[in-house]
Amino acid sequence: MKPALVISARDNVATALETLERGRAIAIDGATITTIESIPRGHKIAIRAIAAGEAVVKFGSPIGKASVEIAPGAHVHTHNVESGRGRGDLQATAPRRSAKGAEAGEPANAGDEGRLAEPLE
Amino acid sequence: MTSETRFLGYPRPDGRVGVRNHVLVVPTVICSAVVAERIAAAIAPTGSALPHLAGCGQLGPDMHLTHDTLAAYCRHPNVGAVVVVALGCEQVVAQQLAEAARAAGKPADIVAIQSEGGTVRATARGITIAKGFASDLARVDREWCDASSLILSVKCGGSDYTSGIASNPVLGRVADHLVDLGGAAVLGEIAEIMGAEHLLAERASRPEAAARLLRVVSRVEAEAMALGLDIRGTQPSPGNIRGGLTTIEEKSLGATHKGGERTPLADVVAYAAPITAKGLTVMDTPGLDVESVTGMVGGGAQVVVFTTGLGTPTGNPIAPVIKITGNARTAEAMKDNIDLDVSGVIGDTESLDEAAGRLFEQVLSVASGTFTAAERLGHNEFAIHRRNPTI
Repeated sequence: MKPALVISARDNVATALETLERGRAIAIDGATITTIESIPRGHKIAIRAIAAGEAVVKFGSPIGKASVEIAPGAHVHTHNVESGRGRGDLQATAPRRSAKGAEAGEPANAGDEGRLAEPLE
Repeated sequence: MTSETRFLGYPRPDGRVGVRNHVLVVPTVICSAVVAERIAAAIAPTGSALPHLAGCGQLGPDMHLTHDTLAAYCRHPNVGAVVVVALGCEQVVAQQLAEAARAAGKPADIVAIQSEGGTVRATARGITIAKGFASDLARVDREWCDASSLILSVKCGGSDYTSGIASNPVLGRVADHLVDLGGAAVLGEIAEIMGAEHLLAERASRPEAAARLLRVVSRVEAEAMALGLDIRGTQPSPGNIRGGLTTIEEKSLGATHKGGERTPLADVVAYAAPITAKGLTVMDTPGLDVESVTGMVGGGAQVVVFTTGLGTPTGNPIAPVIKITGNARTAEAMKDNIDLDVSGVIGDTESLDEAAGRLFEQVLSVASGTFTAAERLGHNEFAIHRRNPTI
């Protein structure tokens, strides 16, 4: 078993198939990447330098953007990758309903559009 | 892949084929759920109840969804006969559910707690009816049926890093193979398509299906964003994050592999609505496992294949749910719940195609009557999706 798996040639991260201790040298596509921190099994390791704001790519598609510069060999996870989807917390306009309101039992959705009303033929 | 393309099933008068022959005991409302469960338990495992939390106190769309989902189960090919258990004053109409079953060629009868004179009498009468149905069904033999009559629900839950690189690609190959044979697959969980919708839309066999998929994904994303919160922590879940999944995009890209690598997207349907297209249908379900499986089985899926990384027990009252994992530790730690271990794909001891061959054989075997782990353990989770408050 390889220590890490790169799924697509377009990817800039690999998946650790075992826990990789700091300083572990692994062969990726003929190059050697040395881990600069411990990578838990199943977590991702940068195989190239990724600039802040640059797309993190896995499965050949973007999975989010680097929130800080990520060095080759670094652990790539929630501390340095931001999702671009479902980010109600980042909306420029005030949210229609606050989290507090939702917790207080305000309906999450009572609109006309919806799982039931969506005209699907 | 095995050359076998048949299984032993139950052809139904409406043209569909069942893989089980349950006596379904359906409470119209939460108030009759306990009586329904006691009736079903008296003829287990042929008897199966659909306890649910609704059936009254609902307005408009939710009311219709409750009725339509229950009616879909009454018509389902895995059901041979139906006992409807009413209270007497509720919104869901027992006669309409019984009529749905009869229209699909199944015997059906009704017990009402108020008119029967209470729990004890209603339970006793229900058991008498259910036993009669069960003894009739026991005389029905399975017949050879073609795999093209199967609708396979593809599902994942408790995902980790192994799901996207092992169990989901293995399941996707089985979905592709079944569609090649003339069958169908259904994929739900719209939130877990978010970030991978472009890949499914590119595979749409007609532009309307692609447009509808993108519209449904946008709607679910807008609903989540309307709460003013970050979806992370719900999607992906805390367990997903511990397992190495960082964002919903990453989870979705791994998850959509289970819908096949090349099968065209043929249709997008509403929750629990009939699946009529061959090829891949996307159903508008939430990501919550039990609500999602409940909807896809309601749509007509006879068999569910459920991939998991962390392990999960979910079953269904009428459809067998096959659990597969690519995580060798989970296969060992939760072996009670796991039907198939495909971790060899990650350990380089088995190819994706070889593992898919084993899974397809398992699907045909389960369709022919072999119990899944979830069936052996009595896992029969059922939850109808709802959107609005109880009134």
